[in-house]
Amino acid sequence: MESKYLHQGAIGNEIINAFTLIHSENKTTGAHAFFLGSVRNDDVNGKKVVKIDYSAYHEMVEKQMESIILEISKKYSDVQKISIKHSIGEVKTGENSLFVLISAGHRIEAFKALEECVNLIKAQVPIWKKECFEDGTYFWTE
Amino acid sequence: MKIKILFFGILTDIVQNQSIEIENIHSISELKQKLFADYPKLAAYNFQISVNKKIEKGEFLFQNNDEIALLPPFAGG
Repeated sequence: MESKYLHQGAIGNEIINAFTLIHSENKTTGAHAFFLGSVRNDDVNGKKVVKIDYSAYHEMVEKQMESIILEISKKYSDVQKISIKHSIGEVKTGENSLFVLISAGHRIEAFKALEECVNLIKAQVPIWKKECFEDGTYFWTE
Repeated sequence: MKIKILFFGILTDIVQNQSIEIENIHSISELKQKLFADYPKLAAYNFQISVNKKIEKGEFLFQNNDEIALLPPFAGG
């Protein structure tokens, strides 16, 4: 299910381009910093991960994302705009599952805010991942 | 009094369901007691409990039609 912060399937270039264009409209911005999380072909007990199946508590995702954006914006006053998209459903290895773009007046605030924002997303947003293997078995990641 | 319980992540495998409705459960402690009786394997898993999308760490008294969720450790990214 598509929503403000969740995208069905992998985060493709069209999403990254669209957000970058929107963020570029502000002429007082001096730095755009982004994070792109990808699905690794991890080896778990001798079995290779081929895809991750993401699930979420959709309504709570929206609430938590809004709260994180507010917290980061309050802490880093130079930050002007934050956009976040996380995948829901299946994403294959090599594809991207999390995109965070932060625009600020200056690079130092953009870098700091970005790292903190990604850490908060991982700690506070109710999203779960099932690592799926070639043989059809899976493993819930904690 | 009726409440809805949502399960996520690995807990959906344990209870073989994404949601259930139960009656006459009034608090988090009563809920845990009932769930551990109905699904003994649940007791081995870590989870937080949210009430109407807000995580409640201690005891909490439910209202009619509250939406309760059992949230295993988050794993986004």
